[in-house]
Amino acid sequence: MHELLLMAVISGILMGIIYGLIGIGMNILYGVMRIVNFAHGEFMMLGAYMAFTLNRLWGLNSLESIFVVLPLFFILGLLLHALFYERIQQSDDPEIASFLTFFGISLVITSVILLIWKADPRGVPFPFSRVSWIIGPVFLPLGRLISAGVCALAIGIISVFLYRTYTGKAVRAIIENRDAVSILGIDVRRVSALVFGIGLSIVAITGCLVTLSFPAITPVQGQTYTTIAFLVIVLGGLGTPLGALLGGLVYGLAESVSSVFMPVALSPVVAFVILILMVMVRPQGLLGKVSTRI
Amino acid sequence: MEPLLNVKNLEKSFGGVKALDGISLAIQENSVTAVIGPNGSGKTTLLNCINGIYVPEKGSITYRGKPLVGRKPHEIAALGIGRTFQVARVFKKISVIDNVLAPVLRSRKSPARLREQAVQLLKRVGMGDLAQHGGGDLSGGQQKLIELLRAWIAESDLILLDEPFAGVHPALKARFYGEIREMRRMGKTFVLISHDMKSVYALSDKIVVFDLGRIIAQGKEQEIKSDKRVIDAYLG
Repeated sequence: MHELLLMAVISGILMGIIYGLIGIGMNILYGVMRIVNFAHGEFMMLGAYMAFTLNRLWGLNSLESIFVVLPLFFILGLLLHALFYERIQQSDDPEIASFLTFFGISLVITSVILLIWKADPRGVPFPFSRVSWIIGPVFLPLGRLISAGVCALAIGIISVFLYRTYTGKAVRAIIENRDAVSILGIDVRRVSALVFGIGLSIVAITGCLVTLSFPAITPVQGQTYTTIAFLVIVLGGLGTPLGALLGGLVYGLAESVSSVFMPVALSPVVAFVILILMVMVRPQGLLGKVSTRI
Repeated sequence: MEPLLNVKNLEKSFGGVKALDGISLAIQENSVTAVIGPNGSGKTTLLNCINGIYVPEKGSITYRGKPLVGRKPHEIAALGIGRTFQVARVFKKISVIDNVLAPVLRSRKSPARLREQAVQLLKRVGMGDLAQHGGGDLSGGQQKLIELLRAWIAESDLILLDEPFAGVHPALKARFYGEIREMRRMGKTFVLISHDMKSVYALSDKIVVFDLGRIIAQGKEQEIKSDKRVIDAYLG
C-alpha cells in the first residue's frame, strides 16, 4: 500500500508539472488580455496531431517535433492576435466576447482535426516509450519523466522571462494594471501580441508532450484539457502565471492519489471537489490576491 | 514665445454632461500651472485628454507644435509627457525599483546605468532601503513619490500632477515640494491639479480656475483670491 501511495504521489507530481504548464499558457493570456481561451485544449490537440504528422512524414519524435510546432504556433498566435484582439477589446465585455470567439474556434479546430486526421486514436512512437526507471519500489515511465522535465524547463524559462527580463516585467505590470502601463509609454498592443505568441508556443509544447505522456490522442480530448486548464488556474489564482504551477500540482496529486483509494474514473471528481472547496474558502486561488478583476 | 502645450476649444462630454466646454489654455515651458476648481469641474478630464486616455469631441491639443488628439497614451508618453494620479498607479506585486524603471523598459540607455539612476533617485527621496520591497508595501504618499520619480527617470519635460498632495503626510509633502522645485530648476514644466491651496500658492506661477467645464478665471494668487466668480464657484 505504501509503495502504491508513493508511486501515486510521484506520478501526481509529474502530471502536476505538465498540468501546470497547460495552465500557465491559459493564465498568461487571461492575465494580460482578459482573453478566456476556451480553445486551449483544442490548440493542444492540434499541436499533438502536428507532432503525429511530423513523425509520419519525417520520423521526428515528440521532442524533436517541438522545434517545428513551436515556431508555427508562435506565428499562429500573432495571426490570431491581429485578427481578434482589437475586436475583442472594443466589445462591451471582452471576457464574454473572447469566451464566445474561442468557443467557436475550438469547434473549428475539432472539425479540422476530424477532417484531416479522422476519429481514430493516434499515437507517436518514442524510442524509450516502454522504458521505465525503477528506483526501489517505484516505477517511473521514462516518457512521463521526460515530459515533466521538459515542462519544468519551460516553466523555468517562462519564470526567468517574467521576473528577470524587462519585457517580462512589462507583462506582469500589464497583468496588474494595463491602463497605468500604457501611460508609462509601454505599447500594450505590442506586448499583448508577443504574449499571444508565447501563450500559443506553450500550448505547442504541451501538445507535443501529450503524445509522449499518453499512448493515444483523439480529436475530442481537447475539451478535457481545456477543463483541466480552467481548473488549474482557478486553483492557482486567475492572472497569476506561476499560481498555475501550484494549481497543476494540486490537481495532479488529487487525481493520482485518489486513484489509489477509489476507482480511477472517480479521480476527477476529487479534483472538482477540491475546486469547489477552494472557490468557497479562497475564491482568489492559492496565489491570487483578489477574487474578481486584478 | 510658443507655448509648450497649447489647448484650444477643447470639448468632452459624458452622456449629456459637458465635462469640458471649450477649454483653451497655454502652458509655457518651465512653468508650474495650477488648475483648481470644485469637484466635477473637469480638471482630471483635461489631464485625461492631454495624455490620450480620453479623446475629445472637439478642439485641439498640441505639444511642442505636435498634435496630441488621436495619439495613444503610450505614444504621448514617448513624446515626453509624464503623469501622476490621484490614486497612485503603482504595481503592487513588482519591486519598488522596477516600478521606478517601468517607463524606461524600452530605453536604449544601458540597463545598469538606469538601475543605478533609479537607486540614486530612491535614495534622494529617502526610500533607498525600500528598493527591493514590493510596491504594495509603500504608503499612499510614497507611492505618489514613485510616480514622480518615474517622470524623472523617463526625462518627461511636461509632468501632469493630479492631486499629488491629497492624503500625503506633511513630511512627505515637504519632500514633494523640494523635488518639484528641483525638477523645475532642471527645466521641467508642470500642470498641477490640487485642492491643497497652500501648495498651489507655494508652487505655481499661474492659477487657472475651472467650473462646470469652463475656465472662469486665471492669473496669479492675488488676482484669483479677489475674483468674485471664483468665490461664487467655491462658496456657491
